[in-house]
Amino acid sequence: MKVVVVGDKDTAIGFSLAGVNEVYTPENDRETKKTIEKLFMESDVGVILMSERLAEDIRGYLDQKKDTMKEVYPVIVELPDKEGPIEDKEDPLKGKIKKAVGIDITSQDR
Amino acid sequence: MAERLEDVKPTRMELLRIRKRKILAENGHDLLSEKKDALINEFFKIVDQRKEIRNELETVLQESFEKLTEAQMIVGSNELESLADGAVSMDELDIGSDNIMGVKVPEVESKILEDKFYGYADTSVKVDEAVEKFREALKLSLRAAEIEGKLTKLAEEIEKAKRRVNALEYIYIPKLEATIKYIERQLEEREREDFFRRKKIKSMMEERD
Repeated sequence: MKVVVVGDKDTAIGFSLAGVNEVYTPENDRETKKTIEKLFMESDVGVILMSERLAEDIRGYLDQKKDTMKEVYPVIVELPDKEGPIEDKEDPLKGKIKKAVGIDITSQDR
Repeated sequence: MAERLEDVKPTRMELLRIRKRKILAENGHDLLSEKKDALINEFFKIVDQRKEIRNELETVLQESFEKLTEAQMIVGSNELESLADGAVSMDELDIGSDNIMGVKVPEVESKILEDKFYGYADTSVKVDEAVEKFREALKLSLRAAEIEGKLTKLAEEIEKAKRRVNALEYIYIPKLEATIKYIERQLEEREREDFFRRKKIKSMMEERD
């Protein structure tokens, strides 16, 4: 299966130097959604590495996409970009974790 | 008082059958809640792992971007872009699925390239460093992908198990219990009626004699 990067230009260059199979650099939200849509349709995409900022912009769409997903793949991993991690960003898995164990264990340091 | 099952005849046979069903339901409940606990246990372990990996990934990425910027300054961003275009991509991943307590979770086998794919002549050591760092970042990202995929699947499964345990505990088992009580009461009632009838007959017979 393929590893795909959806991100800004620097992320794309860096990871294609490292050897990922495909990179996409969408310019706006619409393109990002389109790219994600396309990647979910393909059956051989295993991992999508995605820039946090891009993911944040289409959060609602992304969550919905993940919730309706039956398969194990593709797995989306959100990565910070050149500017570093977004401050106070809500953990994308937080809701899931909270639902599973009943308490919020992501924010507090255990 | 919980609702009882519908359409049950208050007979001894039925009582026995429902008692059996209750035992089955209780066994199922125990098993399921054990499964749920085991899953949650696993889940916590993975949450910890994820935290570690995430932190490491973030530092490595930060370093990677710094190296990339340095490389861009030395060889120029156009040059770097064409290098990136010409970069050899790694083999496609072997992605299988692992099994935790009957839950299918992803397992990612990384096949990151190790050697250089461009000539030494027109590049700089900075590019090498950037490539090196990004490979490291990629490796960590794939680990993160595996762990986060696992986490999501486990979370879903835990939710499902929870719902089942609750359904058994709060709906199904009380319903069976209520039905058992109902049948027992009916049977007792019938017995009392019988007893009374016999007494009555006896006294009537005595009177006649």
